[in-house]
Amino acid sequence: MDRWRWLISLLWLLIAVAPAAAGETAREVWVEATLSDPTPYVGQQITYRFALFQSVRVTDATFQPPAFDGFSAEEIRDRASRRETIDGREYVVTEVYYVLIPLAPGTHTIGAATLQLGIVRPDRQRRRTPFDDFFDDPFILRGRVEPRVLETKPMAVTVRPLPPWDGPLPFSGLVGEFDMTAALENPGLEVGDSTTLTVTVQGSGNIMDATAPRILVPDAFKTYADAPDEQIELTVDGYQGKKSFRTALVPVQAGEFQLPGLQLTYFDVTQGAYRTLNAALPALTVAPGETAPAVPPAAGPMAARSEKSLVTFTGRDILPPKEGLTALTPHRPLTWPVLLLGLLLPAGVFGTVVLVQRARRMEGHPVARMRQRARKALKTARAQMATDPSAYLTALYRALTSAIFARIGRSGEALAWKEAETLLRDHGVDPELARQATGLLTRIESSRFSGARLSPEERERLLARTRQMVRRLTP
Amino acid sequence: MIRSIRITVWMAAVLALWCVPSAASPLARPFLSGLEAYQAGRYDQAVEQWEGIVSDGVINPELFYNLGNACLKADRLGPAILWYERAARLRPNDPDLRFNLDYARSLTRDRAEEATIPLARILFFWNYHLSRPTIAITALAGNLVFWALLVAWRLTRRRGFFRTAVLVAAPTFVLILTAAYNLYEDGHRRQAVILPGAVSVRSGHQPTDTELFVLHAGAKVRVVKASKKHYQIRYSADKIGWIEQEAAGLIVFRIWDDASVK
Repeated sequence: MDRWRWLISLLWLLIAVAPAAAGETAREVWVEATLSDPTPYVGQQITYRFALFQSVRVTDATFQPPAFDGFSAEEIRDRASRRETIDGREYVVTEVYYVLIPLAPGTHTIGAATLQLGIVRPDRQRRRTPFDDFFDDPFILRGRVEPRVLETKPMAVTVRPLPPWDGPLPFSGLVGEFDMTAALENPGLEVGDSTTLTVTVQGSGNIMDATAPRILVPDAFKTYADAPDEQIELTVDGYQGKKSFRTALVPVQAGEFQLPGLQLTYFDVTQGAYRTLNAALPALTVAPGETAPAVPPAAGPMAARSEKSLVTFTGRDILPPKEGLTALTPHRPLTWPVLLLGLLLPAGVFGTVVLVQRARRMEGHPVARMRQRARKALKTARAQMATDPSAYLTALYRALTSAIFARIGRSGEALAWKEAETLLRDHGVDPELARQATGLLTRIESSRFSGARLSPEERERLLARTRQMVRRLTP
Repeated sequence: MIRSIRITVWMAAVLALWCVPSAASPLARPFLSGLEAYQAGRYDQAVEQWEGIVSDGVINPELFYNLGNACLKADRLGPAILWYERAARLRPNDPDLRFNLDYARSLTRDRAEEATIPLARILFFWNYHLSRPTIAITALAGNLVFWALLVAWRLTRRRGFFRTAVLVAAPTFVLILTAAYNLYEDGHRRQAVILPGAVSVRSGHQPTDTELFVLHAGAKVRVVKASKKHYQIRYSADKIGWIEQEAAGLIVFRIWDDASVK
């Protein structure tokens, strides 16, 4: 009996252990892909889930998603890992989600997703050291890496078309599950006051495509639509959130007004049928206002958004006359004389400056100085001719030597007749003129130093000859 | 020293007080009377008052503008455009003036056949954006600066003055040429505005001469020749003829011209 019991126990052990031992390596890491709905409608958002199950350490994982042909795909960025126990074994599950929106009806195939990774096998032969605990870091691999390529199975998706819609209201284009509310800020107004009608569409689906439902307000109101406010987020269940449409209503006449309810038709994916949402609006009481109609603010959420149009004249008239006394200030028109005077006067000033500069420069030149001295000496000789013969002859000598110096371009005081002739000839003066000049110089010197008295006629003649010679030498 | 400065300041103040009212007060009364008449809708009276001021020798774009307004309100389109054009010569960029002139032009009957060449407006843009007095004053100021820089260069021999003078020379030269051209145009290429509602442009001076074409109030013409009582005018390249001088007002206005525009 004990022998049989022992055999049965051994057999159970073999049955229990053998499959586990065989599948241990096969199920230590695997991937799978699932769809939230394999038969969605066109425009209905579905979720594609890719999951990695691992019971061993993996490294260098590279994920290649499928192509998602025929879908609009958006990955949910928040990848999360969690622990899950399957068949008594703990796994780390890492999931990647995509929100898919079918674009066209028909059967589409979502291809295989591929994950390439390496399984870290511990090195059993290596002995543990005291440093192992210190370096026990997942990024520091100790052991061999076994590469693996894991693939999911392709999946067929049957996309159903939306049924035809022939209702009285236009189809909004929304596909999913939605709800709509409407609220009026203030139902009691005065003419010219402003109140805000807020319509909110919320739910899950293509909420971002929602447009403002048509608001049929009476002609007694002006409407100013604001930019819609969106609060939409992407979750593992798809796009969810709400979209609010604000419209400023400004009554222009008093009275009791019942605003018609708002309606919005969408396709409900849970019911597989079109559904029309209704939102009732309260009655508006508008009292006569005392002030001019209010103008919506230019900025902010209540700012007016109106259609821009070309500004055209609504009346024709001229601008008013000028009332300032500046109209009496005379304007002097430009004339040719004024223009020419204005042009030439500064030029004349410039020319004068140039001439003055030249004259000053010439004053310092030996030629100018000697010429000036010759003229002065001639005047002195003329003055002293009758009274002081000695001074008269000295002045003549001074005039002639100064003229000679001016001719040769240098300055000096005294000059002997021989030296004078040599200098004049060396400076290209006509030899005859040089000879005459030195002859006259000799005549003056002899009279000056001999002490002989000259008659008045001779003095006059000598002065005339000297003046003539000075002119010839200093043209 | 302080006493002499004080005396000088007092003398200057007294001189200023003496000069300002003497220039404004005799003309302020008719000007304000004209404004009052305009506001009351008596436009002919406003024209009369303001033309009197112009006859006293006041050439002012604002006064011309007011005259244009009053004439337009008095249903005298030709004189209105004439006064606006005269104002535009002195202050072309006055927005009020541009608005009213454009409005007045929109009332004319004759379509302009000789427009200013757009290329000329682009190439010589300054002559269309600046008033003639502004161009002339800027040219003279530039000329003064140019020669002053040359004088500074001659006195100091610093090349910086000479280089600056060369830089100033180019725009100044352009502006001087522009001012000279404008003066020449005012003297020789005179423009006029047709004043009556309609005027026959004839082949000669005599009323029996052939009527070539008819111009209407506000049409802008170029005066080619002037005889004792007639102008030979050109409306476009192929439309030339004679009109009586009374039928057109010269845009270039001089102090000695008759201010009254019929």
